[in-house]
Amino acid sequence: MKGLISLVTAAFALLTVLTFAFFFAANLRVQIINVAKVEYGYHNTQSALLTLLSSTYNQKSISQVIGEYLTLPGYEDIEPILREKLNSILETECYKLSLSSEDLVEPVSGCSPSKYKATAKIILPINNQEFVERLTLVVE
Amino acid sequence: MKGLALIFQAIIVGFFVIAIFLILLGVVAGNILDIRDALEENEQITRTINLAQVVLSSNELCYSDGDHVYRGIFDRDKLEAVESNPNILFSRIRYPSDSDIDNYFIKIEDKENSESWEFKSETSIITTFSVSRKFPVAIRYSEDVVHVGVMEVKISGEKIALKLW
Repeated sequence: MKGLISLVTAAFALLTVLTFAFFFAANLRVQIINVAKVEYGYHNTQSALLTLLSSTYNQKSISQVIGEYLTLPGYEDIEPILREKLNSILETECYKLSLSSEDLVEPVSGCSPSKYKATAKIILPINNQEFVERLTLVVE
Repeated sequence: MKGLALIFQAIIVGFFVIAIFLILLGVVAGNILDIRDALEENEQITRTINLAQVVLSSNELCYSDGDHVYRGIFDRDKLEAVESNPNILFSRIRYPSDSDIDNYFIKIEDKENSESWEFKSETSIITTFSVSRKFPVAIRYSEDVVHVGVMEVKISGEKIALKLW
């Protein structure tokens, strides 16, 4: 009887160790995959924002277009221009482009981007209060 | 009779424990193999990102005003030149001969007018793995015309890598 109890105790201990090993290994694998994903996502968000700001619309750089949109009254709606450019370079439609004061491109319905964030400062052309504005791109 | 019942019980419990032990051992071993593949895939993706970083800053492709090279902004004339003679790029940016990466391939696509450029090295080794990732880039036609585009970077070699995500 004593031998049986020892056997059951040993078996239980072994099962506990193996169960912990299983969860540890599964978690480690997820962590390794996440490292590569985060590195790629972070890099792409930074590149997407710089690419967007470097590109042009009607012979003006997008950073200039956003600056003029913020400071000149009655400027055309730039949301479709920005969305079209971002849709073509990002692999997802779940993103948000915003200034400190307003969202320039809102995320599509049902998504709330929060994973990867990139910021850049743009120069405002004519404004007595602010010389620069911070632009933020958040991608899921 | 009681002793016989105990022995019988012990045998049943023993089989049960051995079966669970073997199942768990198999699952843990499978996970360990998955970790090895994940590490390898992670390494190849990191290499792809690193190669992309180098290409995005290279004087062979990026616009330069003479003093500065503009990172991430490709010059259309340079893209044309490298497409007609890929050696301009591959003689400057390449993996060491003892690397397990044999080859890399770059495709740049203008998303505003569907123009594209492809660069392949002349090596024609049959490869057993390839990892590919896309990166946003700007393509400069003139001072007033800069389009958005996507650069696909693909590396290939002889090791086997599994598709994980």
